Amino acid sequence: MPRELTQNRIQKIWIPSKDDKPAVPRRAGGPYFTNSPTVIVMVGLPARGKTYISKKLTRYLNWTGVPTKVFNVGEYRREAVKQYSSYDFFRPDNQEAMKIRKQCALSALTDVKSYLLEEGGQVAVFDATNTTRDRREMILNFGKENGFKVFFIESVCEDPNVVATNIMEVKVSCPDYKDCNKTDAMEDFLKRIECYRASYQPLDPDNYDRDISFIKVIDVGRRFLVNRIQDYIQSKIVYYLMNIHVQPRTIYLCRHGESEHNVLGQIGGDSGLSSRGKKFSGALSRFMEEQNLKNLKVWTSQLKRTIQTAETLSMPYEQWKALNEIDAGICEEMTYEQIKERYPEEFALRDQDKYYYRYPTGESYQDLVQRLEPVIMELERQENVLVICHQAVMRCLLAYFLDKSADEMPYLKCPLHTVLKLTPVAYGCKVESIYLNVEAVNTHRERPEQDVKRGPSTLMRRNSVTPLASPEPTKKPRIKSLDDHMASTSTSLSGFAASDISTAGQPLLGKACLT
Amino acid sequence: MEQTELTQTPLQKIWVPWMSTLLQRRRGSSVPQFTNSPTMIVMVGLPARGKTYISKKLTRYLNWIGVPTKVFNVGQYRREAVQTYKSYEFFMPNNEDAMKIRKACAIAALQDVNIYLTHEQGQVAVFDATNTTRDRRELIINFSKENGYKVFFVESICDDPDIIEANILQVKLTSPDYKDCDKEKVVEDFLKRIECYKINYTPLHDEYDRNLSYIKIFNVGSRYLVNHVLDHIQSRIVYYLMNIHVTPRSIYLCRHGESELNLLGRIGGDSGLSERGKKFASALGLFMRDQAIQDLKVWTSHMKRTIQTAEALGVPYEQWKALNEIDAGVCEDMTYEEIQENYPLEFALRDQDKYRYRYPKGESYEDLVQRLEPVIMELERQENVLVICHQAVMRCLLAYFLDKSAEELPYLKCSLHTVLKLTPVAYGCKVESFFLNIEAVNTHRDKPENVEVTRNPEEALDTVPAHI
Repeated sequence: MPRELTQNRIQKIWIPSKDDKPAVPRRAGGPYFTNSPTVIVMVGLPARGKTYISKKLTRYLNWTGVPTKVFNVGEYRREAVKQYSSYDFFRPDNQEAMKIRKQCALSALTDVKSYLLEEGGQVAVFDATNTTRDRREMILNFGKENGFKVFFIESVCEDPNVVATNIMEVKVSCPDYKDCNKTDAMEDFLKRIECYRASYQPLDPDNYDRDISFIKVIDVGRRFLVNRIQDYIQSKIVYYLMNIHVQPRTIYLCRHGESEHNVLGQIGGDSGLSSRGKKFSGALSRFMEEQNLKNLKVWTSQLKRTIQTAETLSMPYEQWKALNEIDAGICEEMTYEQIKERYPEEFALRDQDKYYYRYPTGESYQDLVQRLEPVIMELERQENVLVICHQAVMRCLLAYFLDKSADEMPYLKCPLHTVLKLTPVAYGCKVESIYLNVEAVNTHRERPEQDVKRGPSTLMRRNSVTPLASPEPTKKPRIKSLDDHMASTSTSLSGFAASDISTAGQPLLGKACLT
Repeated sequence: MEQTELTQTPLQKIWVPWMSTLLQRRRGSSVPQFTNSPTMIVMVGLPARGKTYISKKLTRYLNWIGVPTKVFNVGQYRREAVQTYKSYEFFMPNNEDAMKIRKACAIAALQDVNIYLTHEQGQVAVFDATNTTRDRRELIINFSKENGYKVFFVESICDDPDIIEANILQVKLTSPDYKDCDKEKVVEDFLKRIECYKINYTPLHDEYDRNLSYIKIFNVGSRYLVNHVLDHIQSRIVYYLMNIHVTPRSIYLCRHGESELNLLGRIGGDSGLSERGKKFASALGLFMRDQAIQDLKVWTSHMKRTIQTAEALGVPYEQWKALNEIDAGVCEDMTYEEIQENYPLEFALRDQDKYRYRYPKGESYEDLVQRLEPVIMELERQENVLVICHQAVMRCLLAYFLDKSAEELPYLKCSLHTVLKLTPVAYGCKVESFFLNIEAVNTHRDKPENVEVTRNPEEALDTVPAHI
């Protein structure tokens, strides 16, 4: 006998109803990524972009709903060895240091294990040089023992300009060099790299590493060697890595000008601009001209208000249906007051869990993220882009760039007539908020008071497209006493407490946000 | 600043500046057009390395997502020029006469590429030949430069003799070159043909070809080398090539069991199964069990009727919102008679161009294809899959597998209670249709004779299938 179906109230997903309890909701669109968790292992000399790739990839995977976390061995080392003195620490003949460094790697792997087996993690990014076969062998064994898939990402680059730029961008300002001037830092770091070079064994696709799964990224993405992709998630990771680039560029996000519906407080619909909205379009055009950009691409949705806004720019623009505002289903074109009156239960449910809540016959923020993924992928490929979209859509895109969780996303502030200028910098994104000085209504609804009953969020989060902000790196010292570890010779990792995962901070706009 | 007036195109519901409706060119579509210059994809590799297989499959995929693409197979030009194939000796490198003919064929094919890309609105041309020498590739690169085309090479490298033999048996035995030959002779001759090419084969080289854009595929996809991808379309092509595989498998497509709204002749909505629909669900369970498939994945939409159908199978299933039926916007839950009564203009427009027609506040088949692209990509990655979906959705998926055009797609017959079993074979797909012997209403509406907006209701409703 087929089971009875009920539609869960927040997500509107049809699920079998067992007994009285609402059954655990099923996946909301998208295949089940993998059964086994995956460890992504970075490989490469220092200053090859490993941490950059680790953080960016983690941000992307979390946004698409795959719980992912970076484990940066350098941070474990900074915890263990409070004060960095010089590159001598990294000399291959420095036995004391070698022991410490190995222990740090082991301790990071222990945390990887906890994250993947006990904390609901799906992907762990092991960010370290991992330049020797021995080290990689150890990690492969660790993966085998625990039933994790292992995927290597090697970054190879011998262009001295790229390396020097990297060092200036992220190394001279790192905690290791806080008391040094730039020249000294650069000099020391270059010597540090030399320490690794002698023992560096790159991945060898023809022989030694023929059977492992990896991607070699050569010369910052000019060339890729991809070996033995095992599954969906590795395929997505490869596609993402092949689309990202490091050319300086700027992304501008804004909403359409104030619309007639905005003025009346009506949501959704396909109305045109109000007269203030038209003024904004003019202001936007002048603003973009002042930005003085070469080759700006302009994207809009297929709703009239964004197109009207773009028309004033007098430049070609592309219409994306995927950028259309969230579909409010039966609530389209109603005001919040009308919704509250006619559908009080729906209104309450939305406040209960705004990210997962799907309007009847409409969409949820969760649906929006799925729909916007190709837009994000193309934004990564592009250079200067102005995206003229809508409130909910802009929140989703912003959450991607600023690494915001599903919880924060529906409450990010995206007011009318305000352009957000995003510039990639170091490991994150600088945001500047520019209000173009044309009055408009406020369409932002704050998160309701905390005593609103919250749904069983953990149930819904399981196996669904749920942006998570990338977790804070583990900073607590893992090693109680080095001596305890010197004693043990095996690589088995047991007996460590699970680390805390804290989510990223508040949605602060108009400030530099560096992840 | 002057605000240009906007108007919404009646068929696709796209907002365009009023003036541009006076122009032929369509201003917008469901998805941005990312290609400016046309692209030539140039296959490279010894015979029996899967070049034609890849060419045809890639072409089918690109056409389906809306990028006009065509294959130019030089072997076919050669068969035209040299009516009868005698033996591998034609391909010997010292056979000067033959070399002249073969070069002329390549040039003739390039001229047709030129016509297709410059005068026939083609966007991508796939140049399917061995292209194993630097000279030949140089020729092609110069040709492209002269004409403003981007070039992307796809090289297939394979040294596994088992795979090569399997390829020969699968597609060469039935080639016109070898009609009336017995199997052993074919394999023997073809292997000698390959040897002729090996002598002068220069694969794409890391240093020498450093500035070319290409992907090298090793051993049917176990490894890839990707160099200097220039743009969006090349990136999509690479992603597609990295997801396809040749492991034998079957894809089963069917619709949900007959629904309550189906019985009433109403479109869309989210109703449950009728009694007969429930019977179908059980029958489907038995049918799939008899198919005795290992590791079957089952996918449904988010709509109740597909999920109810899947529930009867008693196996785990995945719900994809992307598999939801086409959104009929303001016409949701209506019968065709009601649509004719309330929106006669819309009803006529739909019949005029069913593929591009977008329901007011709803979707078009064109939108559906964009929405389904990730489903197709994942279907390519998977092995045995049963997809329980909806009429319009199934038509889109079927059109992908059977290489149907946008004109044919919205009229493909996808009846209730019928499972289509698709099995890849040679360069295409074998289809078997299984009606599970449970009566259901017919929901297929053929294109009526009169599609003018001036037609009368009887003409409009002429092809509406019977319902309660």
